[in-house]
Amino acid sequence: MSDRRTFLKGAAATIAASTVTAQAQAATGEKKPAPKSSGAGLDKTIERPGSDFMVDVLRSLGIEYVASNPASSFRSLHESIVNYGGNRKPEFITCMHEESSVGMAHGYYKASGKVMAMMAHGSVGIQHAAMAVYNAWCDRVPVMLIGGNFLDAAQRRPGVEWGHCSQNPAALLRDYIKWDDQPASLQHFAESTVRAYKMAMTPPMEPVMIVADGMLQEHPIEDEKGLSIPKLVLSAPPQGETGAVREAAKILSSHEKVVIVCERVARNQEGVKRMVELAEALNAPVVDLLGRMNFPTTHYLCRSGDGRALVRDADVILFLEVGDPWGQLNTISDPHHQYRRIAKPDVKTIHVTLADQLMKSNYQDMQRFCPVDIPISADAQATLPSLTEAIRQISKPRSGKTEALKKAYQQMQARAREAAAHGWDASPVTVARLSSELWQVLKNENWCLAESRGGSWASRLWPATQHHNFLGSSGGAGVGYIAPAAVGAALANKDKGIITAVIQPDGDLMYAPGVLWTAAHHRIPLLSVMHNNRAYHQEVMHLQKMAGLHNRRMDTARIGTTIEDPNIDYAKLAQAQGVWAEGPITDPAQIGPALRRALAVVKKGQPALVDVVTQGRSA
Amino acid sequence: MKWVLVLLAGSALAQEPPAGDAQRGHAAFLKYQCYTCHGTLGQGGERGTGPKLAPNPFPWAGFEFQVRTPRQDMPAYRKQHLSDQELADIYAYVRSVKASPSASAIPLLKID
Repeated sequence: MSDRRTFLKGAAATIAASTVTAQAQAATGEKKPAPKSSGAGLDKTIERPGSDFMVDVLRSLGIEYVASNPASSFRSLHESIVNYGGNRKPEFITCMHEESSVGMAHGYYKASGKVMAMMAHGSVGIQHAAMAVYNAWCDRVPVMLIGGNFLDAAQRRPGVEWGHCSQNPAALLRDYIKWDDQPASLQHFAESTVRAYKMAMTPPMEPVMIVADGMLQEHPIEDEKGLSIPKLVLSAPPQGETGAVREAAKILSSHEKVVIVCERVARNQEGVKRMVELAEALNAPVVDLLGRMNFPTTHYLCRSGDGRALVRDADVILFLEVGDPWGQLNTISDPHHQYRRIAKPDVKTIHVTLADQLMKSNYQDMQRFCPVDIPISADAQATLPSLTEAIRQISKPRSGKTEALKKAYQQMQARAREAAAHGWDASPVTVARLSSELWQVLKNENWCLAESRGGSWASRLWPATQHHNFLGSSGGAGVGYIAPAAVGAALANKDKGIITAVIQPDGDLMYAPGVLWTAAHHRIPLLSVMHNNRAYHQEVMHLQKMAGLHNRRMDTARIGTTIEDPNIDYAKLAQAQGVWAEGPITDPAQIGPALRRALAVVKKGQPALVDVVTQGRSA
Repeated sequence: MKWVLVLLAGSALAQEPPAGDAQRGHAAFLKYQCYTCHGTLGQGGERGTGPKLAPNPFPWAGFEFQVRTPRQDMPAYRKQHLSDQELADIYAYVRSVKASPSASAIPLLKID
C-alpha cells in the first residue's frame, strides 16, 4: 500500500510539473525541453551513489568512527557507511544530540591522537553542535565536522527540508573553526576533505567543516575514472626560530629562579619525555595547568600545587602554550574587579605558542593581551628538543638545588594529603575522599581520567606518568563537555586495555544524558563516578557574591542554582538507558565496594555508573 | 596574605567569643551557604574557593572581622542579614567540629 501511495504521489507530482512547464512555455512562446530530474526515476535505482565515494574519502583518511544523530540531509552518506562500507572504519556511532557527537570526537582525539568525524543535520543539527565545537576550538582539538545540506533549492522537498537548509551552513561556526568548504562536485569533495583533515591536524589543531551536499550524496557517480583521492601527508609542526630559541636559552640559563608553566604542550608520551628533559636541563620547577598531561606528577620538579607562589618569586617564567599567560602574572578579584599583580614587575617572560597564528576576532578566547620579552611563534612540543639542547650547550643543570627542590616537592605532596584528610568521613562525601576511593580501584590498572584539570584532587594526589592518564578539560568551559568527552575517550581506549574513568558532575551530565545510552548501545566501557552535589554549584557561589555585593540576604542563593526537589536519581537514569549503575551513595564507606563492582562491569566491556552525593564544587 | 591580616587583627583584639549554640550554628552554616565554599564541616575547598575553618578556627575577633568585612573574594555577611547571635552560633558550630584523622592514619592516602 505504501509503495502504491508513493507511486501515485510521485506520478501526480510529475504530471503537475509537466503541466506547469507547458503553461510557462505557452506564456513565453518558447518551447523548451521539459526539465528532467537528475536523480533516481521511479523505475530506477542508483548502483553507485556519490556518497559511496565520500565513504572512500573518509576511509582514505583512516577515520574509524562517525558520531551522529541520524538525519535526512546525510541519509545517503549514512546508508553508504552502513551498507557500502559495511559499518566498519568508519563505524556509525549513534548519538542523541549533536553536542554529544562533537564532545565524543573531542574526547576521542585527546585519548587517541586521531580525528573522529561527526555529521550534523543542516541548520538545526549544526546549531545543536555549535557549543561543543567552540569547546574543541578553545581546546585546540581537531574534529571533522560534516554538515548535511541541500544547496539546490529546486531539488528540495517542500516543508521541513527548506527549514533545515541554508545558503552557508558553516557560517554559524566560522568564528571557531579553522576552515570549511561546501564542495560542488565529488572531486571537489575529495580534495577539500583531505585538505580539511590536513589543516585540522596541523598545529594549532582545530575543528574543520565540510558540507556534503545532499544531491551530491544521492546522485550517481558520473565519471568514476575521473575521480581521485589526494594523498594525505601531514605537515610537520613549526619549530621555534633558532635565534629566538638561543636567546631564550641564554635568559633561562642565566637566572636562578626559573619556572616553567605549561598547558597544551604534549601531544603524546614523547612530549612528556621532552618536557622532563627540559625541566631537568634547567632543574627548574614545572607548573602543569593540565590542558594536556604534560609532566609526570611523580617527578620532583612537578610543582603544580605551588604555582602561584612560584610565579610570585620567579625571575624568569617560561610559558609553553599557555592560553592565558596574563592571568598567571596578574589577577582581578571577584566581585570587586580589583587588579593585583602576582609576579615581580620586572620578571622576564618567554612564551612558545602558536596562538598568534590562529586568532579570530569575535569570540574572546584569546584572553587578555600579555606582552612577553621573547615571544616565539612555534609549536611547543616541536621546539622542546632545540630549546633543551641550547640550554645544555650554555650551562649544566644546577644540581646543587636538587635536594631543596625534592624537599619542596615532598612538602607539597604532604600538604595535599593533609588537606585531603579534612572531612574524610563527611557526608555528603568530599571530592578528596571520592578521588581517593577512585584511585584505589584504578591504581593497579592502565588508567585514563577522561576529564582532569589543574588543582583537582586527582592531579594533586594521583601518581600520573603517562600522557593518556589525564586528558585535560573542555577548553571553552562550556558545560556539557565531560560526559560525551568521557564516552569518546573510552571508545578510543577500549581496545588498548586502558580503563577510562570520569568524575562526572551532575549538571554537566544533564545537558545531554542520552550519551549514556550511546555508551551502552556501543558497548563502550566507561567508569562514571558521579560528583553529585545537586547544584550548579559554582553558580550558587556567584549568587552569594552578588547578594553580598548588593547587601542583600544570602540564604536565597539556592534559588535557580540547585538541582534538588526532586533529587535526580542518576543510577535510575543510567539504568533506564542500559547502563549498570548503583547509588545514590551518601556513606563514604560504601563507595569503595561499589566502585569495585563497577570496575568488574567495565572490565567486561560495558559502561558503569556509581552515583555519589558529594560536597559542593570544591570541598 | 589576607589570612595573615585577619589573624593579626584577631590576635590584637583577642577576646572571648560570645555565647553560641553549635546546633543552631550548624543550621545557620547551611542556611547562609557558608558550606558552599568551606564544606559542611568547614574543611575547606580545593582550588582556593574557601579556606579551612575547622577544627581550631582562628580567634573570634578575626573570624567576625572576616565575615563582616571580608577581604578579596568572600561575600560580606552584614548584620541585617546575619545577626550577631547567628554569627556566634556559627562560630560555636565551627569550634565544635572534631578533627579528622591525619593523612598518615588513612590507608587510602598512603599513595606511592
